[in-house]
Formats: sequence, C-alpha cells, structure tokens
Amino acid sequence: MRLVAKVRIAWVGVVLGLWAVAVVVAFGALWRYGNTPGEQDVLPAGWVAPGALGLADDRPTLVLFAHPRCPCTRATMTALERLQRDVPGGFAARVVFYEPEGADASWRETDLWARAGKLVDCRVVADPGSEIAASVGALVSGHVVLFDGDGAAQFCGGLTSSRGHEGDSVGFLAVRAILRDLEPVSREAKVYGCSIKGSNCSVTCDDARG
Amino acid sequence: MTADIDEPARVVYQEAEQQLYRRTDFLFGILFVVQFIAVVAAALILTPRTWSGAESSVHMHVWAGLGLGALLTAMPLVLIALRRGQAVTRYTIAVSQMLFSALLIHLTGGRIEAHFHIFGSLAFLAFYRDWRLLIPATGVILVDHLARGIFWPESVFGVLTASPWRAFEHAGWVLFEDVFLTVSCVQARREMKQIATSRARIEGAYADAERVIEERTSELESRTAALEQSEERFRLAVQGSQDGLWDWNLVSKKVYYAPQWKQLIGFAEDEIGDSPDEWFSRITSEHLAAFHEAITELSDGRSQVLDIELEMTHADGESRWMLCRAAAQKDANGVVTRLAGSLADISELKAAQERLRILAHHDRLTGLPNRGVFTERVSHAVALAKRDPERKFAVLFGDFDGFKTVNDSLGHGVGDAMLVRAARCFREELRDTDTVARMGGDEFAVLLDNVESGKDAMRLAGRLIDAFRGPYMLKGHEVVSTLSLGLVMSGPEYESAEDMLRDADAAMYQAKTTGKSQVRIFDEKMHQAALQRLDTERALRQATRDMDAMDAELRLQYQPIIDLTNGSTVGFEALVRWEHPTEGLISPDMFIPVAEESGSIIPIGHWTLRRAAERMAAWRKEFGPDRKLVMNVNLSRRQLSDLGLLPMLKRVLEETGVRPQDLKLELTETAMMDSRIDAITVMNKIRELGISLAMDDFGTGQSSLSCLRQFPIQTLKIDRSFLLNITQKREFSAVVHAIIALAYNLNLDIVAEGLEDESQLAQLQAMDCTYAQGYFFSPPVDVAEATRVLRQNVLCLGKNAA
Repeated sequence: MRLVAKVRIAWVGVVLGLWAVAVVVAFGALWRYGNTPGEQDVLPAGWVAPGALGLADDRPTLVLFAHPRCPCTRATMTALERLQRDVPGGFAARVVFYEPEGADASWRETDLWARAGKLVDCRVVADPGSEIAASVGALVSGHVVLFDGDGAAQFCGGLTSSRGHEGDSVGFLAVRAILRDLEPVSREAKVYGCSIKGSNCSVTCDDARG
Repeated sequence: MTADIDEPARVVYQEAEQQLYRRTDFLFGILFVVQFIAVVAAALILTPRTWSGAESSVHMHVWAGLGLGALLTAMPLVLIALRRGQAVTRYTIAVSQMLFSALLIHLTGGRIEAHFHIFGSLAFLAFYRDWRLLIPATGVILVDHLARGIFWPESVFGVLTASPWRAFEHAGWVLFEDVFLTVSCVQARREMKQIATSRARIEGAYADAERVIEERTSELESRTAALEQSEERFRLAVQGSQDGLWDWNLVSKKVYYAPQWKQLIGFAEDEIGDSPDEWFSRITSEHLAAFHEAITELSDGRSQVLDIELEMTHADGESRWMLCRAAAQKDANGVVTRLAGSLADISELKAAQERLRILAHHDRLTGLPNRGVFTERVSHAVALAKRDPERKFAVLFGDFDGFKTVNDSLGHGVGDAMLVRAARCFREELRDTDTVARMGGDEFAVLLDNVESGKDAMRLAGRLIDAFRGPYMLKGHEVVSTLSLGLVMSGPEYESAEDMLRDADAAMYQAKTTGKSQVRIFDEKMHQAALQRLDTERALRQATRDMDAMDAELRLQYQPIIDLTNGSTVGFEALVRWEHPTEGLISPDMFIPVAEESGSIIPIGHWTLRRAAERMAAWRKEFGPDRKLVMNVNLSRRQLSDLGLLPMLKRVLEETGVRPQDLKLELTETAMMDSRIDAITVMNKIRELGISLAMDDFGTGQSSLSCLRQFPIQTLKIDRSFLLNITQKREFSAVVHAIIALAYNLNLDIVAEGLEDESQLAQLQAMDCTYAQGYFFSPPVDVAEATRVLRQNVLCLGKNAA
C-alpha cells in the first residue's frame, strides 16, 4: 500500500477516534446532567399542613410541589396522572405551584397549571415565594409528599428516574405501592427538576418551618 | 460476498453495490440534516429553558441538541462528502444513526414513542442491504441501553435493581429486528446477484452484439466510402467527359435531363421540362425518324444498347451533332421500364472527320483532288470504257519545267504560290467534267472525260501549255515556268489506271527531254521503251536478289585517282558493272536509273561497298598501312535515305577489316540537296564512323556556297562537263579555277573528273588542282589491272612525261 494511502487511513482513524471521544464525553455530560438530583430537605416532624392545602382525612393526600414552567415536571405530572389511573380514587391530590413575588397571571397560564386543573380530586394552590414548599423541605420542582389520612407523611421525593424522564421510577413505584397498601421498596426518592427556590427567595426552609 | 458468481457478474454486482452504497450514503446525509433539525427543534419545544425560581436559563437539552446533534451529523456528512461509498462511511453512519436515536430518546424524556426511532434507524440502515452494519448499530444499543440497564437499572427500567427479564425482552426485540433485517439484506443481496448475473449476461450479449454491429458498421462505412469514391469518380468522369446524362422512365413517361444535357443544347436548367417531346422537338427532321426507330427498338427489347448520331437544334438556332448512347433496364418480368444514357456533343469531331475526309482526298495546298482520288476516277473511267468501247477519255500528266529552280532560288513560298496559281489555271482552262489533280510536287494530272479523239485531247493540252507559257508575277518576282505534258488516250490495252498514268508519265518525260513546254502523246515507241524498262527492272530484281546472284552478274571496275603533283595513284573509284547473262554488259547509264527507281540500288550499293571494301582491305594488306590509298564508292540518293545504311556501313567495316579512313563515299550534289532527306545528319554519322565524304559531280546541281560549308565533306569532285570545255572556253576555265580556289579556301581536296587529254592536265596543273581521274590516265579497269597499276605506282604522269 502506498504511503499516501496509509497516511490517509491513519488520518481518518485519528479523526474518527477524536470524534468518538467527543461523542462519549458529550453523552456523559448529558447523562450526568439528567441524572443529577436536586437538593431537598427533610420533612420536619409534626409538620402541620397549611389550611390552603386541606389534606383529606379519609384517604391519602399526595402533594406535588412544582415550578409552573419547569419542563422536567411534565414527566412528574404524567406520573401523577398515571397514578390516578392506576389507583383511581385512592388518594386526593394537591399541586402547589411556585410563584415568585409579584408574579403576573402568566405564571398560572402554563400547561402544567392546565394539566393540574384536570386531575381528579385535586386542589391547585399557588405558593407565592415558595413558603409552603419550603416548609416541607421541597426545593426542587417535582417534589412529592404523600400523606395518609392522618396527615402523616408516607413518602417524600420525586416520581421520575431522572430529569423529565417518563416511565417507571423508584418514587413512582413506591407511591403506587403505598397507595395500594403494599410495602414500598423505599419511602423516599431523588427529585429531578428545576429549583423552586429562586436566588431571590427570601424564605429558607428553616424559615418556613419556623 | 461475491465468491459464488463469475467474474463479469461480479463486476456488475460490485458496480451496483457501489451505486447502492453511494445512493444510501446520500440519503443518510439528508436524514442526518433532518434529524439534526428535529433534535434541536424537539429540545427547543420540549425543554427550552431551565428554571431556578423566577430565573431561567437555556436548558441543557437545547445545548445537547445543538452540540451533540451537530457532532453526530457533521462526521457522517464529512465522510459522505469525502469518502462516499466507502465502508468507513457506512459504519460511521451506522454508529452515528444509533447515537442519534439515543440522543433523541434522551431529549424527549425517554418516551416509549421515541424508542421507535431505534427500530426506524435499524430499518434505515438496511437500505445498505448489508447485514454487517447491524452489528455496530446493535452494539451501540447494547452499550447505551442494555449496559445502563444493567449497571444503572433505574435509568432504563425505573427500578433500583437490574431486571434481566426486561433486559432480555429489550434485547429480544432488537435482535428480532436484526434477524428480520439480516434476512431481508441477504435476500436482497441474492436478488442483486441474480440481477447482476442477468445483467452481465445481457451486457455480454450486448457487447457481442455491439461488436458485431461495430464490425458491420465498419464494413458498411468502408462500402459507403468505396461507394462515395465510386460516385465521385463517376461524377468526375461525367463532368470530365462533358456528357449529358438522361434517364427515361417508361412507366411514368418522364425523362430526367441532367443539367449538362441541357447545357449541351444551350438551355438553362429550368428551360427544359421532363417530357420526351422536349428532346424530340429538338432533333432535326432528317434524324428524327431514325432516332424514333432506335428508341423503339431499345424499349421493345429488340436491341440491347443504343448508339446513334443525330443532329439537334441548339438554342442559338444552329444544329449540333450529338452522339447518343443508352442502355435499357428491365423489370423482373423482362419488360423494359427504363432507358438511361448519355448525350455527347460530337460536332467538333464531325467537323474534324469532314476535314480529314477532305484532306484524305484533296491536296491541302491547292485544294485539288489528290493522287488517290485521281487514280480512283481514272479507274472508274477505265471500267466504263471497258463496258462501252466507244467512250473515249484521255489522261494528261504534267510537270512544270524549272519548278525546282523557282522553289530553291525564290523560296518555297513562291513555289507554293506558283502551284496554287497553276491549280487555278487548270480549273479555268478545263471543263467542269474534267478532273485535275495534284499528284505530288509539281506534278499534275488531268482526266479529260468524254473526248472525241486524240486531237481534241491534244487541243486541250495545247491550251494548257499556252496558259503557262508566258512569264507572270508571283509575290513580286517574275517567274517563268513552262508546262510539259504527256498524254495517253484510253484504249482496250489499258487494264488499270496505274498503266495509263505510267504511260502518261513516260510521255511527259519524253516531252521534257525533247524540248520542254510541249505535249507528247504516248506512242508505240515509248511503249516499247517502257516495256524495255520493265524488262530491265525485272532482270535487275532477279540479279540483285542476294549476294550470290550479284556476285554472278555484277562486277567492279576501278578507275585510278592520280596525284597531279607526282603522278602517284592515291585511290580508286569503284564502279559497278552489270553483265547480263543474255544481254551482255549493260551500261550503268541504262540500269542505274532503273535501279534507283525500283529500289534495287540498295542491294547493289551494299554489294558494291562490301566488295570494294574487301578489295581495299586486300590492297592495304599488300601495300602496307603507310601507302596513300583510298577507295571511293558512290552512294545514291536512295541509299542516303535508307535507314539501314549506317548499320550496313558498320557491318562492312567490322566484317571486311577495312580501315574507315581508307573509304570515301561519293554523294552527288543533287542527293545532298534533296529536301526529303536529312542529308547532313546522315553524313555526320558517316563521318563519326571515320569514313570520308566527297561531293560528286560538283557544278551540275544547284547547291549554294553556303550549303557547301554545311556539308561535312572532305573532297570536291569537279564534274566532267567542266573539263570538256576547259581548253576551249575561257569561262569554263574560270569556273574550274574558282572551284579549285574555293576548295582550297574550304580546306577540301579537289578531284577533277573526266581528264582526257594532256592539255586538260596542263590546265589543271596550272590551276594547282591536286587530283584527277579520267581516261587520260586510265579507264576503269578490273582488279588485276588496278593491282598492277598500284604496284607500278607512278602511272600516268610517267605516260605524260613519256
């Protein structure tokens, strides 16, 4: 084989190798991003639900804390819808949407607001300044707390396996097991989504918990 | 992959395969661009921004869509651009495509619908019909999906622990498609091979057909070229021949007249239509019927070709002679359907033929009938006279006296003018029924038809002689040239025209020799003389039939030539003598003219020269090389014009051994001056052989002094007539003196002929004449006497001295 041809093949090999490395690195970064959970706090013991939430006393109540514009939370909303289909009438739902201070009406005109409004036995609550969320330690959109009829927290965490990833997840399967009176593999799960604690958030979790 | 097919099919298969790869590469190029746009759009639509409270930023998925999407698109596009159709491109496309599926699934949140992209990608890769590409593609799926399912099961299966059954299920579906696509690829490849095999066969057959077509085309081209050349030759031939072609379709009754045909009779292309009448109407009435008949015979099949001369009327009104040639073409039933031929203008040829006809029968100078025509008419008259003895006619044969003098002295122009005038005079003096002809030179002949008697003929002849008697002016010169005529009357004794002409000629000769400017009628005496002449001619022919015959009847005599300064014999003139078996010795004056006229002079001359040369060689042998001795031999005019003369001289020199310088040929002045002979050329060639030349009988002819210088002669022989009167007449003495002086000035030897007495000798010696011969010294003697003379050496002066 002539030298020129060999050099060409070598060049192609080198370029393809570099390209492959770049692809692997890029996919790794994307995977890493998608699988990095948000921060979350522990639900304070003896936490009392605010009246606006109105937890049901005859059945469990699943409270979802969400950022109305977080694209990743659509997967959580889908999981919630699926839970209602899987365990019909088995729980009451409450969706608490973050609202920044002085937010205009557009913050309540998102697709998530609309989907939340269509859930069965669900009350949608605005949480200006994320005070309620902070009180339960929910710092990331998609954070779910499942209360039993007595108001005791049975589960705390996210319903997706990564950012915006639909399908089964540890959190989803655990919640569905609890609702079916089964023993869940876990009573907590990582939460993936946008932060509902803005940089200008004046309320810390500790503040909220008092 | 191609081991099971033969080489031509393999070539076709690989060609098709390469086309498939390149085409699919291109399709994937388009697909990648579309996918890139779709991925970015999906990211922008589904996850445009990420939020942190009230603040937002561009979502990571958008950057991933742009960056990773570009990375996965760019490399395949670069390879498609640079290495389209190559394996590295296909495999890179396979990997990239599956990674694109992974990216899309990831960016769309792992929706189950997005997973269809994986199966679509695999199916799309099957466009390559290469199952081997499914290996890296499936490998990517395994690495991206199955491996994650094992090591990070929640990211794939949503559970914390690995689910082998679900992993198996996932892999099973992918493998199912792989198997499906592999089978599909293998079948497609098999079909490709079949198509390639078929196509290779078709192409093989096509190549064979193409080769045959090429050969046939080449052959056709060669034939076409040959045909074109042939047509070109034909066209040039037709153009060159100036022939006008025509083509008559007997079915449509139309005639194609070529432009040249129309030009021949002076018409333009558009002035003559395609009707046969266009032709017939232009044929003169004299030839129309014959042409009609010839055409009818040809079209009826009674003749195969047409070849006819006809006159046609030209556009200028004149008639032209045309040669029409044609052939007929028959159909399958043998019926003539077409006549085709050519028309050639032969007017000039006809005119030339007419001129030739006139020239053949008429004298060009005078316009009179020539000898042939005259002889024919006389023959006709002889025949008529035989049938009707009462019918009388006469033949006159005339010759102008002194014509040669006029011709030589005043030039041929005057001579010709004289002949033209003579012809005019003849016509004026004779009746319309008479025929006058120029027989050659200054000889004329007249046929006087229907004459009552010899007297009438003599009266007419006398009138002619009178017409030429007086002097007349020609081109500023006064000319006197009288006419001598011989007349012969028809009679039962004449069988042919030649006999009558011969006798008329004889009578004319008699008229000339007996006074000139007169007419002599052929009589019995002349007849007897003519008979005598005929006998002599016949006997001479017999005597000269070969060398033995000549040796038997001819003999040589030698007359000495004497050096007048010392009396020594310096040469001999060989003189031939004829000893007839019954008539005895015949004088040279009798037989030489007959021999000249009959042509016997040629063998006689040959014999004379050979025997004289032999004698000279013998004498040279006896008297040694230093003895001054030359043998003079006479050469006649007829011999001079004989083409065999020079070869004969060479043979004589070779065969007799005589030295060329020991021979001298004597030519008369008249022979040298004969305008019909290129005498100078022949004489020069004789001189080239080393043989000397002498002018015989000088003074009797009409040679000019300038001519004398042109002839390559070494000796002048003064005619005997001068010596006869040299002692009586002063003017003769002066002439001889002048001739001798002239010879000295021209550095020529001078020999005086006919020396008969001592006074003549004295005169010649006084004039410093060098040589002489004559009876004073010795008559011609036989060889024994001549040899004795030579031995004696000083002969005649001794006698003189004595």
